[in-house]
Amino acid sequence: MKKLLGVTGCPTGIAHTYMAEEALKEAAEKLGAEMKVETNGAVGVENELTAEDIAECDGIIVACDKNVDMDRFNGKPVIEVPVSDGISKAEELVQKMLDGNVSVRGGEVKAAGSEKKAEEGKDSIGHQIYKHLMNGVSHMLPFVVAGGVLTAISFLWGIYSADPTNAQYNEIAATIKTVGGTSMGMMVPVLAAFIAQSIGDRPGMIAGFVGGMIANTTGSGFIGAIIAGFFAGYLCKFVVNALKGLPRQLEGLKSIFFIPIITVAIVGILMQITAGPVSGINKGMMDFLAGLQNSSPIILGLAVGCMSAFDMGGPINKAAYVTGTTLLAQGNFYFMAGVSAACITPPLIIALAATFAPKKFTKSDRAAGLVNYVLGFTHITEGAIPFAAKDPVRVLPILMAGSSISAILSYVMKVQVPAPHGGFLILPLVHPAVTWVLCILAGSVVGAVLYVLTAKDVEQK
Amino acid sequence: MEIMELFDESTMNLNLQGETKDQIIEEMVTLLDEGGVLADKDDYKKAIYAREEQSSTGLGFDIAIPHAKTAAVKTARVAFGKSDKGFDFGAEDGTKAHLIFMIAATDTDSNLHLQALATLSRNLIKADFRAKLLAANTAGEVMDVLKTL
Repeated sequence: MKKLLGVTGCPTGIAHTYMAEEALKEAAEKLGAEMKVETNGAVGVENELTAEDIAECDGIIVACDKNVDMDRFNGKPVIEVPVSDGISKAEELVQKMLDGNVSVRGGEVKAAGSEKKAEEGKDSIGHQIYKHLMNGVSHMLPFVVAGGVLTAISFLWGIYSADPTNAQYNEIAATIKTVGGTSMGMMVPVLAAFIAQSIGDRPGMIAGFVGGMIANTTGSGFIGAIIAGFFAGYLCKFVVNALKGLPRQLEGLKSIFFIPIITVAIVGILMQITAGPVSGINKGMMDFLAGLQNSSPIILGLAVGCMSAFDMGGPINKAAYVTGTTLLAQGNFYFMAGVSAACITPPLIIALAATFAPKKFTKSDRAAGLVNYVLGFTHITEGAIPFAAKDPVRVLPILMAGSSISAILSYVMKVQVPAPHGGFLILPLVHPAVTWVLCILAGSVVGAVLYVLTAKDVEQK
Repeated sequence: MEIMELFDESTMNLNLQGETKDQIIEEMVTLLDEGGVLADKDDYKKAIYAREEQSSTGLGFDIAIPHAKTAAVKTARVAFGKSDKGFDFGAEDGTKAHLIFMIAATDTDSNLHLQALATLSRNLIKADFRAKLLAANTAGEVMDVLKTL
């Protein structure tokens, strides 16, 4: 039996889409072909065609008055008609497709289908692990930012304002700190949960959450969370697969009963057993990093500065940033000072250069350069990206140098930054604030000077 | 059944008088308006014509399904009309339509309503469903046919 696919859709998406769907299916049935139809209606895309569908099919009938992704059909016989033809001429269309005199859609035969499939299959293990890890990190960060900033705000009343036995004690501060602390406390469980969710969907998330909670309470911290996340994710994938054989009637029971109980039990017990050694490793790493910032602030600053400026918001930058937030959660306010300084510096380098050497910038770049003041002040490293992208070989080393100087000085001066984001908005919480700003300015000025010296004049009109 | 929530005997007319597309649209829009489902009759009518301009919803095989999803609609409703002598609704194959479903959907309609409309649309393709509707003589009988969906 020939396998055909259909895509239907119309602008309003409440009538024709589904009439065409039904008409095509009926026609296919009558003519002895298999037919799957993707509908692009007002309720969204239903029955979406998968890469496999497309790879296996004998042709696609697109009866659609609405833009749909056509490139995925490259290399396949495709008929494109208005949606009304899908309704009134369904049989004709199916017959034509079955007769086989349909031209193959041109274009690169990456046919989203095969490409996606290949991608999924070939996706290097390294990239997969990175993808899962980042899913966890990106869900975790908002908790960290909210928690960190709230905690930092409570310090406005004094660093011991949440301690009832201290003279600085203030009830409002204590409440804010509790809320902030709770949000911060979510970061380890959330990290584990969403690493697991990325691998094993919802069942994974459940076991991951529990594993992460245990990591949190037993002190195995981030390393524990990462272990719990990956283990829970792959375990759930395995268990879901293993239970495929169960009769359909048990389907509902499976997802809310069997799978959670089995996976939570296994992950939880494993986390409890390994808690001792893993928390040892976790503590060792934190101590090492904290020690580095005392024993060799220059090496640490150089590493953090280069990492932060290298890809500006990309994975390498995030690795430094996440380490900073992690240490922050454990009460180390020094490390974040360097990371924050290094993240703030690149846009400031651009902004300063644009202010003092306008000749080196085109008119529109100058305006964008000035916007970088705002971006820099608010810890948005990404502002420098367009400038670095234009001439990476020249600009990136300059930004890395500037960031490194800012970070090194912050470590040498033992600046404390208690919040994981916010740039200069959190200055009241930074200790000592003026020193920190000077550290950042020093790095930014050096960077800006280098930038101006190496840049050519732009012809002005 | 969800589908039944979209119909009401008050917005059915089994004896349409018009013969042209304009006349029929006027008749059907008025029917919806008198049924109290429109917030703004003129706006709704404009939306119907806007959709017709893209391509006629007269599809051949006896059916026309003008429709609009707009804020000018208060509650989702499908008006049903039938004409024994038939009317021209701009079908590509030049045949006359005998059945008309005029769909009024609100801007913010729930998925349930949209799903119900989808079910209705799918069934309109089926010849036996259309035959039953053509055979119905009263609004009550039409409701009975719809209940079988």
